[in-house]
This record gives sequence, structure tokens and C-alpha cells, in this order.
Amino acid sequence: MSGDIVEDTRGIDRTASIVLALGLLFILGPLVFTLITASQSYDSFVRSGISPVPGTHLIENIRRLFTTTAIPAQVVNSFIVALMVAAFKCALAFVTAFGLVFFRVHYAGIVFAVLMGTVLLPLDLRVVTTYQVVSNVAMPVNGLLNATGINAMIAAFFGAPVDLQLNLLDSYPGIVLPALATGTGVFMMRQFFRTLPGDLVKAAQMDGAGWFRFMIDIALPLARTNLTALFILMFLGGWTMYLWPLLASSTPAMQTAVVGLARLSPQGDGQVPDYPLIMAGAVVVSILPLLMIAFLQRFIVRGLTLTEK
Amino acid sequence: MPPSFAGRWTPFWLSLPMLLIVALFFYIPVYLSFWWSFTLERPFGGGSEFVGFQNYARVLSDPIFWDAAWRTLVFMVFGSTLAIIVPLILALAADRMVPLSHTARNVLIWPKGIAGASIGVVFAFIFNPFVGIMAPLNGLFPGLWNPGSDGTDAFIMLLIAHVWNGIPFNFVILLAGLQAVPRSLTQAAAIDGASPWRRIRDVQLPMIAPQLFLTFVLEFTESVVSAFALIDTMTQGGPGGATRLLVYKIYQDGFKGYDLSGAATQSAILMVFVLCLAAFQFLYLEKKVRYER
Amino acid sequence: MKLNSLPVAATFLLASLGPTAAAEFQFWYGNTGAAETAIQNACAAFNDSQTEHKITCVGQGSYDTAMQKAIAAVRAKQHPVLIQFFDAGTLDLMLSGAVEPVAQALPDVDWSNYVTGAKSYYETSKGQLYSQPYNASTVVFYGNKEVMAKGGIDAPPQTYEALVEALRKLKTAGVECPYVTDGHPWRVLEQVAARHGAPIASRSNGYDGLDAEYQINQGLPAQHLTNLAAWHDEGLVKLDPETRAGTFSDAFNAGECAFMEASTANYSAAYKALGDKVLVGMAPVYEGTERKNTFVGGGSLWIMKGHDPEAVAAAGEFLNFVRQPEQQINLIREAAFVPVTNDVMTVMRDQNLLTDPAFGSIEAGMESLNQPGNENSRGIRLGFYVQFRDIFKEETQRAFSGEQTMQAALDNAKTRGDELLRRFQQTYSGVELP
Repeated sequence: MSGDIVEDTRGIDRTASIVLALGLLFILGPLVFTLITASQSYDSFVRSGISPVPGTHLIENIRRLFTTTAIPAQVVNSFIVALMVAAFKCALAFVTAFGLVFFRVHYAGIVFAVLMGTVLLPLDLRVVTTYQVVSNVAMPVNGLLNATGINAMIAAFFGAPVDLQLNLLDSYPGIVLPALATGTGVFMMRQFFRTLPGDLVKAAQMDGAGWFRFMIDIALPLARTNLTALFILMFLGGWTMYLWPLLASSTPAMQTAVVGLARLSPQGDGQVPDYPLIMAGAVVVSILPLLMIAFLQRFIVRGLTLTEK
Repeated sequence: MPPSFAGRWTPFWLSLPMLLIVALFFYIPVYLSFWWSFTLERPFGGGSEFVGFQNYARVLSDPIFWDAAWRTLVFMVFGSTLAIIVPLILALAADRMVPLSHTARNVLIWPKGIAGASIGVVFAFIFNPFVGIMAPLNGLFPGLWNPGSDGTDAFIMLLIAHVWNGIPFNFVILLAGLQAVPRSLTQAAAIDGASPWRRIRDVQLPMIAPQLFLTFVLEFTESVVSAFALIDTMTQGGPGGATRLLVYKIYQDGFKGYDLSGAATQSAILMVFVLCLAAFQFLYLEKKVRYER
Repeated sequence: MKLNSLPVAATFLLASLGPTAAAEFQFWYGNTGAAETAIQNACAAFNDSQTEHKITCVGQGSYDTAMQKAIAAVRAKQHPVLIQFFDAGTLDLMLSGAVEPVAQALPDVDWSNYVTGAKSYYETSKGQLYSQPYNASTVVFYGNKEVMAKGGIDAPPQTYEALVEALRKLKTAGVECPYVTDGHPWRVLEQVAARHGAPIASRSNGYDGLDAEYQINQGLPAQHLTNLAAWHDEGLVKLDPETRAGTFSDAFNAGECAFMEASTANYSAAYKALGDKVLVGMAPVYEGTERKNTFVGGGSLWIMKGHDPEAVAAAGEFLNFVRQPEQQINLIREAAFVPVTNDVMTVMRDQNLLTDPAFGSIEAGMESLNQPGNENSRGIRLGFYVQFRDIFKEETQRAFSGEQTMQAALDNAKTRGDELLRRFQQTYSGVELP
């Protein structure tokens, strides 16, 4: 090795370090400002604006947040929604992918294609009509009865057609169900199942185990790490959703924390907006997912690289 | 052929819950979007008239639609490019295994846990012309920065927030790609006297071409939709429509303006556009990436 | 799951036609803050006042959301019997086929007791009242005595000519924000046009037919908005984003600005923040104008179709309840709305309430509402008007920021607005304007 290359490496490493430091600054800067502002009293904030040094009112601001806003209840909503999204997505992905990989049926390809179609159009692009469907999920049944002429018969017979109504707006199922209609989880699990050696199935069959025992005793334990990664990613996804929960929930009591935070407008006290309170809200709303990320790092990285198609 | 279980309909039953959900909350809404785009719906129901392509004619001749489409495209190109170049540079640096690399690999993923709407609220505050970080500069040069009245400032603010929020995924994917590049390759190039920039250009970038293409493709779709939370919390499409991207316009027309047919028509158009992007991905990029590999 | 119009439903219906006519019913509204508290208090008072009916009042977070949710609910046939809607949605509701005119549902009420500027907004050109005016407000003029004093001004100017002079004095005296506005069309267009008796659309602002066209790019509205833009360029007028507080009312309340034109309902917050520094008067007009009445903004109460007679009757009871002077005075006291019936002013005068500073914006508001009217000061009867307001804001914003002239902005807004009107007309083709 010549001295030149050593010198060269040191120079590159210095550049790399500076780049990373800037990157860290870019990511951490807004978070630091959030925390500092959340720790200031409203009065000192009104006097001097954004400040480089933290204040002493963090607890006080969070207390105000808990007593004067709906954020605490909305954090619970977010938790329930994120948990439901993650749990159902994992469960659905697991059984669906299992069925598609470990059985040999001619229609598996069609089912898979139907499910993968969902990846192309995110929920945000179909909110207008999804809203209509969720406001009456029985609508397709009515439509089917009308289209097939059954309803005309019923109307002739009983004097009135069937008109079923089931409104899911402003409820947990209404927020969660449309978020489940995506095939990414199925795709991830299918890719994973296909990496399992075929001998596993053969061995299970020799032991006389049916598909159900194989699914519970063998496939599930093997998929644990991947399911955990999927679960965490979907939980974060559920927690950070915005447009759909914004529309599906209309009362503050049903809104998720992220929606509540965005609506945390100052209530006409006739002063500068209460940014310390709003930033305290941002801290409370983001703290759980941030902790998950900081401590469950390897699952997240695994999950993200798994979404790579 | 790998061994498999017997049972003609078992997989169907296993997939049924998922199929039902997808039918009800994906295919029916998509179908309805297209159906509504051919009718004139009364907001309160009770009357919808089939109008053929009239909605399309109206939307496509509306300069505001094209304005929003143009801004969507600009955001897509600038937003995606920045949201890939920034993580790429960071990934190249983190790949050097300098002392900061370890911290960076943890911290740079944090934005993944912060909702777009939350970061919108925070950035709207940080970039507030009177109380935010630009306040001192504004004091020196009054009117220098005001995203509330200057469309360009608002668009820049939107881009910065988008890049911030997009770093984790692209960083992880690109870094994973870089780390899979055999060390021997870069070392050989170094010994041949290739400068660091040349090594990046001639060795590393071509080797991570698949990851780069992937991030680009995903980022394109992502930037079309994910901007909504940022727009709604920072600019509401303003000032003067400067940050009104299509996804926000659809929301405004459909939910604030009771124009269900217009919103459905624009949804349908945007869907077709996104589908074309996807088709482009599958047909063209896949081939190219495989070739590169 | 609810089964409608099935044989089973018939059985339910029979079962529900018992001896008692008691009803539990829902009422949706959109307000937040002080107004929401006042509405909830009214609901509680109604439930306490009698035992027969029970009202449940549900807040929807904003006027926009309330409307959006009501649309979904009507489409899914899940709507409550009573809904509050905001002024801008009036025509959309009239033609929706989903509402029953209050004058028809409650024929025994003396509707002529309603204040003209409130009634005309919600009645047809033939005089049938569709909804009951409830939380009403109108635009008045606010001055901050302390800031005004810096320019040596002691009373709010009555004309725009005098106002501009005052604003220039204030600016010379170093006041950074002499006058503040958010440029919302309710404040800078609709109410200004009304007080001058000028139209914003043909066919008497749409009252005479669905074929109306916008006229905002000519006459008084155009002249006033062009002036506003010029005053803005001169540094006399500030907009929301140019204030430290971020909104015009907050900026005024924080003492940044000397004047604002705002709703009477802004008074409660202003009085809380500034005390007796707040001066309130009728909003200015241009010299030589014969002043006309302003009309109301805010919300009115609509009876929705599709409910059994008991529920409608119970909703009617609630409408009668909130119409009583004591109930109106509570709403006025808590949220600074204006009286909607004539007898309330008498009661307030008798009780000496008008001198109470807590009611400081009422007299100016009522004076403004009670000016003589003409065909252009009745209200606004234009379809998809909510969307037009957004268009107006967007185009004028681009004029204030210098991207286009105000005249061009108004021309664009007219063109885009007319397209909305034509589409509305087509959407409701075959439906007669009531």
C-alpha cells in the first residue's frame, strides 16, 4: 500500500463524515426545534419566537395538552387503528400467501394477480368513491339485487325493494378496512414462503400432518421474524395515515392523533398561535413510533428491504 | 414441482377474506370512479344523469386541471429526484464506515415514524416567516421569505418536507445495495488509480442500478399521493393555487365543492396515469435492470 | 344493519306507533369554540325544559365537515332530522330534495317576526322560508383605540375615502398594520356589495333563476377590490400571512393592527383580548352611497326529509325553543351572534343589555342588518357557491401577490364561477328554483 491511498482514504472519510453530519442535522434539526418549542412557555414564545435553548415548560405544555385537547383520546384511537391495521394485515397476508404457495390449484395465479392489482393504486387516489362505499358497505348487495332483477321481484311481491344500509363512517372498522385492501403484505409473505425448501412439506406429509398443522406448527414459527417486520411496518403505516382517517372520522372523538394534531388550531384567544402547545402535541403524537424505530431498528430495515420488489 | 397439499378449494377459502376486502374497498371504488366519471351526480343523491364523455371534456378543457397536473409533474420530478439524490449521497457516505455511520444508519430512519401531517405541522412552524428560523433573515430583508404569500417559497417548503419524509426508505434500500457491492471491486478500482468520484460513477452506481431504478419508480407514485398530508397541513394548496397538486384538487373538488363527478373524473385520469407509470416500470425498467445485472 | 322498506320494517313501524309521541332526535352542527359551547348549552336547556323529547347535539368540527358528512348521510339515508348548515350552502340544500321548508313544517310560527336581513337569505323569491336562521352574524367595523391614537384618529371612519386617509396617517406614524383582512369573499365581496346595493351576480344574485352569471368583475365589487389591492401595495392593508399572528382576527386581537372588517361574532374574542380598547361601528361605504342592509352569515337550521312525523314535531319544538328571546340572548351573550327576531331587540333594550360591553357589537350589527334593502341585498342564491368562494380566494390571492392584476383575477373568477353555475344548472336540470 502506498501512502497516497492512505491519505486519499482519510480525505474521503472526512468528506463522508461531513456529509453524514449534515444529514443528521437535516433530520434532527426539525425534531430538536419541535422539542425546544414544546418546552417553552407561551409567554416567552410570544416575546421571542423560536429559540435555540430549551425552556422548562415541557411537562406543563403536555399537561395542558392532556387537559384542554382531544389528543390523549386520539392517541388511543391511533393505537387501536394501527394495531388493527397491523394485526389484520399480517393475519390476512399469512393465510392468503400460505394458501397460494402450498397448494397447487389452477386459479392461484388469478387470485394473486387480483390481489396485486391493488398495489398499483394507493388508497389516497380512490378516497372519493371509497368514502361512498364506506358510508354504505351494503351498497354492492343492493346493486347486485337491482342488477339481477331480484329486487324487482321482491318489490312486486312485498311492495318495496330491499335497500340495505350499513354506514361505517366514523367507526374503527370504517377507518381500518379500506387500509387493509392492499396486496403488499401478501406479496411479502408469498416471497418468503417460496424460499422455504419443499422438503419441509414432504417431511410434514410423511409425519401425517395436514395443511393446518403444517401452517401452525411449521410455517408460523418460521415466518415469525418476517411477520414481526411486516407488523411493525404496517403499525407505523397505520399510525401515520392521514387522508383516509381525516375523511372517515368526523367527530374529534373518532379522529386519529395525526389528524387531531393537524386540527390543533389555536382557539381564538386573540394572540399568536400557541405553537408550544402544538409542538408538544407533535411530540406526544410521534413519540411512540419514534421509540419503536429507534429500538426495533433491525426489523424495520428488514421490513423495508423486503418491500423491495 | 415443489410438493404441495391437496385440497382444491382450501386456498380459495383461505384467500376469501382478503378477496372480499379487496373487492369491496378496492375494485368497487375504482369501478365507481370510472362509472361516475360518465355521469353527473347530484351531491345529495336522488339523481344522476349519464353524460358520456362530457365530464372528461370539461376537466380536460379546464386550465386549472392542467395547472394542477403540471404542478404534480414538477413536484414528481423535483421531489423524486431530490428524495433519491439526498439519500444516495448519505448512503454513499454511510457506506464508508466512518465513526458517524453507525449513528446515521439509525437516525436517518427516524422520519419513517413521523406522519407526513405531523412533519407538515412542524415545518409550517419552522418556516413561519415571523416566528420561525427565517425570521432573523426576514428582519434584515423584509419580504424575503413568506410561504403564505409567495408560491415559490411554499413550493420549496413542500419539497423540503417531502425529501425529509422520504429519506428512510430510499436510504435503507440504497445502502443495502451499496453494501452488496463486493469490496474487491472498489479496491481494485482504487489501486488502478481511479479517483473516488470515478469509483462512484463507474463502479458503485452501475452496481446499484436495480436499487436506483426501484427507488425512482416507487418514489414517482409516492410523490403523487404522499404530498397530500403535507399540502393539507402546510399550505392548503395555496397561495393562489401554487401548491395545489392533483391529489389535493381531487379532495377539494370532491369533499369541499360537492363536485362528485368532477372529482371522480380526475381520480380516474390520475389512476390511468399511475397505471401507465406502473406499466412503464414493468415493461421497460425491469428489462433494463435485468440487463444491467 | 337497518332494513328499509321491507315487510319487517312495516312491523317495526306498527310497533313504534304507540300511544306516546315522545321522540329522541339528533341535531348536527359545525361550530367549535365558544359557539359550540353555546349550542350545547341550548341543547341541555331544551332537554331540561321538558320531558317529552330528547335532543342529542353532535358537533362535526367545522361547517365544511358538517356539510360533507350530511351529504354522505343523506346518500346513505342515515341523516338526522335537524342539521345546521352554513350560509354558502343554501341553494345546494334548497334543490337537494332532502329538506323540508321550515315554513311548511311549522305553519303556525309568525315568520314575519324575523329580521329582514336574516330572513331574506333563507327564503325563496316568493317568500317561503326554507330554514330557520340561528347563529347569525354580519360584518361590522372594528377599531383598536390604542393603535388608532398613534395616528391621531379617535373614531372609526364611516367612508372608505376617510378610511384611506386614516390608514395613511397611521402608516406615516409607523403603524405597520393599519388595516387587516383575510380577503375572504364574505367580508371583502358579499357584504361590501350588499351594503352598496350592488349585485355580485345577475338575476338578483341568483334569486330569480338558475341562469344567473357572476358580475364581480364590474361595477362596485371590481372597484372596491381594485382599491384593496392598491392599498395593499401601498402598505396600508395587510393580509393574513403578512401578520405575525397569522390570521387577521388574531392579529387585530393581539394589537398588531388598527382596523378590521369582521363578523359581529369576532367581538367576544376581541373584547376578551383588548377590553374597552375595541371600538365597533357599521362597516364603511364609499362616499355618496345610499347605504343598504347587509345580510347574515353563519348558520341556519334545516329540517331534513325522511323522518316520521313525531321526530319532525320534536325538531319543531326545538326550533320553537331556540327562537325564544331568552335563548337567543344566551347565544348572543356566549358567542356574540346577532338577534334573528325583532322582539329580541326590544327585550334587550328593556333589560338594558345593549349598554353592557359584553354585547358591544350587537347595536352596530343590527343597525347594519336593518338598513333599507334592494334586490341585491337579500342574500346569495348561487349553486356550488362554496366552491366559488375558494376560486375567488385563489384568484385574488394571486392578485395581491402581484402575479396578476386584480381586474384579471376577477375576470378569471367570473369565468370559472360561471362554469360552476352552468354545471349546477345542468346537475339540477328539470328542477325548478323555488
